[in-house]
Amino acid sequence: MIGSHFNFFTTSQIDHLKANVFDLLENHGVKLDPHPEMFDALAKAGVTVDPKTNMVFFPKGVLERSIEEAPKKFVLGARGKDRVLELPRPDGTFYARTNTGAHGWIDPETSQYRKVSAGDLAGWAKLINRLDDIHFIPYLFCDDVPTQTADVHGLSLLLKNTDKHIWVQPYSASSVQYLIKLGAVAAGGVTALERNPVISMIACSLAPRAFKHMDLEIILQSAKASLPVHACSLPGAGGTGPATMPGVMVMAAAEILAMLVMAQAVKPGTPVVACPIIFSTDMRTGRSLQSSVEALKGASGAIQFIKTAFNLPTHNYGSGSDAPTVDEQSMSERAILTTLMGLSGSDILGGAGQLEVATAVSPVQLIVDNEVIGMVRRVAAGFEINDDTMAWEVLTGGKPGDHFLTSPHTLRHCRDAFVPQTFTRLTREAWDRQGSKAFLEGVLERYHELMGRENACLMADDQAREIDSVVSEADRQLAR
Amino acid sequence: MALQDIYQGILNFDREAVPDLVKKELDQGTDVSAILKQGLIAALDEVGERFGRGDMFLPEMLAAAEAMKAGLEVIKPLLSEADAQAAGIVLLGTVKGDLHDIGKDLVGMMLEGAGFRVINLGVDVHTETFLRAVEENKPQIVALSALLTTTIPAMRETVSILKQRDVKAKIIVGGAPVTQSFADQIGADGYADDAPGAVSLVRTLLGR
Repeated sequence: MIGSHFNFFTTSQIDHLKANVFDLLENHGVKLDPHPEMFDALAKAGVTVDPKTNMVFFPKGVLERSIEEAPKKFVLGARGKDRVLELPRPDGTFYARTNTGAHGWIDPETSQYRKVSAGDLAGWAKLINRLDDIHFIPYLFCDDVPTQTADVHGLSLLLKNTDKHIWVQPYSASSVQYLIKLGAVAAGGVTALERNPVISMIACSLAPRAFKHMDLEIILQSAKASLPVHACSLPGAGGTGPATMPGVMVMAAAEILAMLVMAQAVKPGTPVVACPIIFSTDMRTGRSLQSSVEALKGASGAIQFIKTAFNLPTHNYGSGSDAPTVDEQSMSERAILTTLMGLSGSDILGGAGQLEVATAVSPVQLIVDNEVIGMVRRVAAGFEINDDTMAWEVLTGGKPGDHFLTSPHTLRHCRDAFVPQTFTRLTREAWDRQGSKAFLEGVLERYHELMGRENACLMADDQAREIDSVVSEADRQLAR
Repeated sequence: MALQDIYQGILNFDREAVPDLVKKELDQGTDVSAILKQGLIAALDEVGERFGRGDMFLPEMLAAAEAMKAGLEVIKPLLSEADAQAAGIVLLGTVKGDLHDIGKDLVGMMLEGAGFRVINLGVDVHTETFLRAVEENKPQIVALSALLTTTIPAMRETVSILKQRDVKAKIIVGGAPVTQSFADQIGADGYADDAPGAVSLVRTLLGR
């Protein structure tokens, strides 16, 4: 079965966009912070490197070879055997993940905003373990751990509290080695981590067309460790990207391909996920927006373009809102976003639970997102057409005017439907009898129910001690 | 009427016409101070008003500031020493570890448009660099910017060290993760949440 996706582009439009991406990289180049090892790897791969200006130019042949070398199928591993994610998803739909790096927390009990704590992150992981349509987790930015090692602490907390795949966003070049070391401890060693990459890494461009030393280091060390790299370009149309979306798409694709070539230059076969996470700039304030209709259209267009032109797995925001809190706006924006991105063909939908342009999260919102994502995934799965789904035997065997409730075919399929846990489908009378609860009251009850259970995904004590010793070492070296 | 043309030229983002209109006005013997206050600064105040109401968009505000700056260049040599020094000097930079410059540059352009001399130290500016620049330029204002949550501690550190070293300039802060309460907490003298707000803040702090 293949997924059901809509299409923005004609073949000639894709070819035109693709030609401009190659032209941009071949003739206009990108600028890298000085990084001798990366420069050396790129030069050996046939990329033109100008060490005086730090400009790098990518011949078309090198681009095509690198795209060919990047695997089109691979796994995002996990500590839990049944949590491993095959990319692309075999049923043609997508996986979903939560927010990365938010520092704000909307407390489920008080609905008040505060900074994220380490305890919140552990609870966040516990909650996600129970949400079937949230498939992997990045860490949030905890306010009560040393700032210089906040990434190391974040990863250690997740490794100890979830057996799902973890997405890793380093906050400094010097923490990369500790993050990979933590991944190796969780996987059972360096070689085991290659086979079962329980973590995957985020590298970003500094749009437009520049790359920081930290991100070059992330690509280098991830490729050496055979870890999947999510190559992210996050331009804001009109600010760090052109004002018109096709220009943003071309630039984002070029930045992603530049990172792909870097990864292949270090180690051919390094898995790369293309992440054109596109924002628009609110021209009234200068604020970056993730949920404006322009950003949604640009992001879903970029996904389709990159998938079609380069056949790479893709990843984008597929949930989230610009609203600062859980409200009607946050619900409607993410409903549009999840539907659009789910049907655009993105392999991974990010940002579940996030608010305020990815800077805050809400556990209550996350529970709703899990349901919405589940529903959209049903749509994206398309239709299976065969005698059973066409119910041919029942259709031709039954009498006109009869019903299907007692048919064995209905009995066989009556549990196919998605059953939401928080959406109300009661009559008004039944709803009144149950206390006329507002939607979010029901969601909060569900939160209490889920959080009241034991966390069944905790890491074994001896492994957790090893994790702690890596964190202590990072604190000693970096948090002085 | 001609002062109104300068005012209108800025609101029409006409960076070509504004210098000519200013020259024409000077040729007719209009007082330099009147051109500055009733033409250029009055227009920029209106720009700030419109931006605050959401009636003027960011690129338009920048285009207006450019037009204003072009007009200012014409009268600069004619301003009295007192006028030239009147607005003041602002030292501007994004704190250590942060490479983001759009918001900071926007503030710089608006301040220049409002007649301030702006010394832009760029991005990833270490505290020692701020201190050296304060020593060399004697600014009335030091403006610090940060975009990343992770560089907020660097802003705190820079403010703290500038205060410890008894820097006389007022220190103001801004950027996406910065709030008024954070500014108060770290001992900054002011906070603004957008570029026109920064201009008003600087004017207020300097009593201009």
